[in-house]
Amino acid sequence: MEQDSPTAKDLLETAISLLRNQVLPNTPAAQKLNLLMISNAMAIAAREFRGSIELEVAAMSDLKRLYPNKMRDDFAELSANLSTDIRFGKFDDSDSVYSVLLDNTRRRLKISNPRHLRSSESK
Amino acid sequence: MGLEKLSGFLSEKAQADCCRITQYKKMSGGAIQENYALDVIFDGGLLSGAHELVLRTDAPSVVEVSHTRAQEFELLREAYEAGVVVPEPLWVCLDSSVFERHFYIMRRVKGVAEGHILVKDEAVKTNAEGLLEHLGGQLAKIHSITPGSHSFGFLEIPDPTPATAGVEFFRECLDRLPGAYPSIEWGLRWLELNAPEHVTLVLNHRDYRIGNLMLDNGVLTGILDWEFADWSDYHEDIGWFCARCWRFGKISLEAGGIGSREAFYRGYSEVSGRSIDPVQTFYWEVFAHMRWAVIAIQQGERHVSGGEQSLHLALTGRVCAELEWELLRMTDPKNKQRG
Repeated sequence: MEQDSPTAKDLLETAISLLRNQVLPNTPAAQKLNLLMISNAMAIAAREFRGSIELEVAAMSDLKRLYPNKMRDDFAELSANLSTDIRFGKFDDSDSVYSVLLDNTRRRLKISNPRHLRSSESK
Repeated sequence: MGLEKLSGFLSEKAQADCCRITQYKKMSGGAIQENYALDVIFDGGLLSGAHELVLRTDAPSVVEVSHTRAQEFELLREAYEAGVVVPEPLWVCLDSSVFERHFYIMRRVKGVAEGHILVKDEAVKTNAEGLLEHLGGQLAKIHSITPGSHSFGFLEIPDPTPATAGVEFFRECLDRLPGAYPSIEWGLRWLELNAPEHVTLVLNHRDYRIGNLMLDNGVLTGILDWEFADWSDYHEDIGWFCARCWRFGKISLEAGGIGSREAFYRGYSEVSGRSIDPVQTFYWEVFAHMRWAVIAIQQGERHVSGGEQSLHLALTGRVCAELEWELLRMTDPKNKQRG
């Protein structure tokens, strides 16, 4: 089966490049903040296109590791279980739960703000 | 909107023969409140002559935890009386027929109150340490208002402590939102287990950061946005000001992204006579990230739920990942040594 080319991700990335390199420098100051927000939103969307499936699979795998006896692969349900268990102290000082949370947040941050992650991990 | 009624209100309050509004313009910023710049000329009365004023009113979409304009006016007036550098509050209006919403009038102060700009401002950089001492001293003046010296009918004493009441409030906020937030819950559990037992209650501004301080050529001209002020331990404002999430990218400048903690602490202690406990300050820096994270989730949800479609709100929702990241780094179970 054919897939249209260029892909949606490619289109987004090309549009961002045009926006940042050619449109933004010639934009009146009053509209610059809006344009920066648009470009940031598009960049997040492009990274999410690239990494969302990997993120979902990894997060699900982590949750199943914490709850091996749960029969259903329901992400929302497992995530809610984890939240409740943390709230009521079941995982106080648990290194394994902490690692799961840190890994999942790192993957999300790679999409939402990779610059913050790089700056944070370099220190 | 016709301005005749507003003009009449201003004339009456200033006991003027008449007043002319020569400029009326919405100011930038303000997701929760709206500010309008007013240039006014009074003929006769208490303020005869030309004045630059601000009318502050609610934005159409109100956040439930913020105070009303009448309450904010009362806080601003008490801060002004305590010698805090704030725009002088003049009059409050609770008659909705004048401007459709309640509002108050204060003097307009000059300067810039945008964190991203101020942390790069040459005048700020040149005198950062002196400015921080002054800002520490100003915070101490705000904190001179205590439950023993003042009572505000709309502020309750936190029970049993500001930290535990905060944790309970955040959990209630999360429970009203769709979805689950395990990393936030992790941070909340840490805040619950590490809540300070010793509390010194003072009036906290609760949004004391560079983005809410009007600076003109490196000089403080007004502390703005009193809508979240409340009783809390004095370390809460110090933690909020120094929290990494409020350094506007200047991570190594730990006091607000403009300079050293030492200068800020020195200015605070000189005026207040209080010492600053690093363990408590660290606790309130974790709390600051939590509070901002919960607000970010709520802002994102305002967009997602269709209540108010806005790219600004949507992007604020995506800030949550970096706040959770910092929360987790600060609450690593391997790192029992805080700070």
